[in-house]
Amino acid sequence: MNDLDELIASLRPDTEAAYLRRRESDLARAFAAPRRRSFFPRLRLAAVAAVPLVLTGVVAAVALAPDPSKDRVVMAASVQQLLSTRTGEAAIMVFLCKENLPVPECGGRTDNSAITEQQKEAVERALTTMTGVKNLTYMDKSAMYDRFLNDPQIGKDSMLRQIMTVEDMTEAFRVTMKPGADWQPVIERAQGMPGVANAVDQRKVEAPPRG
Amino acid sequence: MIPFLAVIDGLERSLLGVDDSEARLTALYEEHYRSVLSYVLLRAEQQTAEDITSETFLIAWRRLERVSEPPLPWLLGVARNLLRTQRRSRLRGKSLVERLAELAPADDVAEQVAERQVALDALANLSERDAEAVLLASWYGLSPAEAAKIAGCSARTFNVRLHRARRRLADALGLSRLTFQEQS
Repeated sequence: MNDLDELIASLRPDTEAAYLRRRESDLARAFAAPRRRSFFPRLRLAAVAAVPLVLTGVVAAVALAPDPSKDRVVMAASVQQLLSTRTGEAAIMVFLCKENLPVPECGGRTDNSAITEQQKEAVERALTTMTGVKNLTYMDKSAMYDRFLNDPQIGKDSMLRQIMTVEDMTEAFRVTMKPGADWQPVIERAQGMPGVANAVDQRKVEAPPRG
Repeated sequence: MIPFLAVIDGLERSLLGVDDSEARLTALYEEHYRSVLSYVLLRAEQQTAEDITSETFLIAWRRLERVSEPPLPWLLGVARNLLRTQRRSRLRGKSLVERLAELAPADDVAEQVAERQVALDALANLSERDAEAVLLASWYGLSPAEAAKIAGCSARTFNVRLHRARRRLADALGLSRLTFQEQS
């Protein structure tokens, strides 16, 4: 043996036994795990305005499957925002940017990034000092996940319960207002701040059509 | 107009629907498991290495759409990141070459054992990074750009490491320059 490559290659450890031993259980474990929906690269965003979900204030980036003959409509973005927007509660939800949330407020599809700690502090500072604001609660991903799990709009057997993970959630601020206060300036202020994806008056969120 | 529930139903259908994800992951596993494990074994004990490799393929499953082509560099990159987060169980204070010597396949042919020892001795004289460059290029046939990502440097730097390492190895092993194939 006088070839350098062969010699180096002969140092490669033997992995065959491990392969045979682990193959079945590793694959079974993977298949049992939920998959992320990361359809973005292959999909084009459809007109969001066509979807009444926008009324729910959701940053719903609904995408159409590349092959229209299959007639598949898949959600591209932020299913949890769509779903965790519980209707009718007297609060403003300020959804924060996370990575891979393809909305213009977060940098669009190619340049999106999560809200930074400084931006979060800025939002919190700005909103707590506004007139009419009674209380502001920060909700991290796990709090948003609880909210999602407890959302009456999600059926008990919904597949979404299995596919959504804590990591799919966006962070948010939940803002409650004093009686008689004007909500609009708070919503507009929040909406205009860097790192905020959307701010929603939850009272105006319409119940989705059912059945 | 797409009604709310239709969107959800469509989503669920598309996820439940027949797709070839399982076949794809199986193919990835069959083709690349050995490569990923052999890489992780350099930095972790057997049990931990197998668990990290298992985790690597679990991540590939969860992000199947993101696995780039060719997949091996992507998989090795994931494995490397997992190794980083497993500081506790990593091999402490053991050099790459010491680890290689432990891992070397058992062989009863004395000649091969002796030759391997020569190669190990030669590798031991290289810096850790240079030795890793040789292994990445030789074991996996990665292009300099791909290997550089895994080694965490630029393609140019990787090339420098690789050429330097190979030259020294060839010298140390007394191999003729003619059999020393330059990689471009």
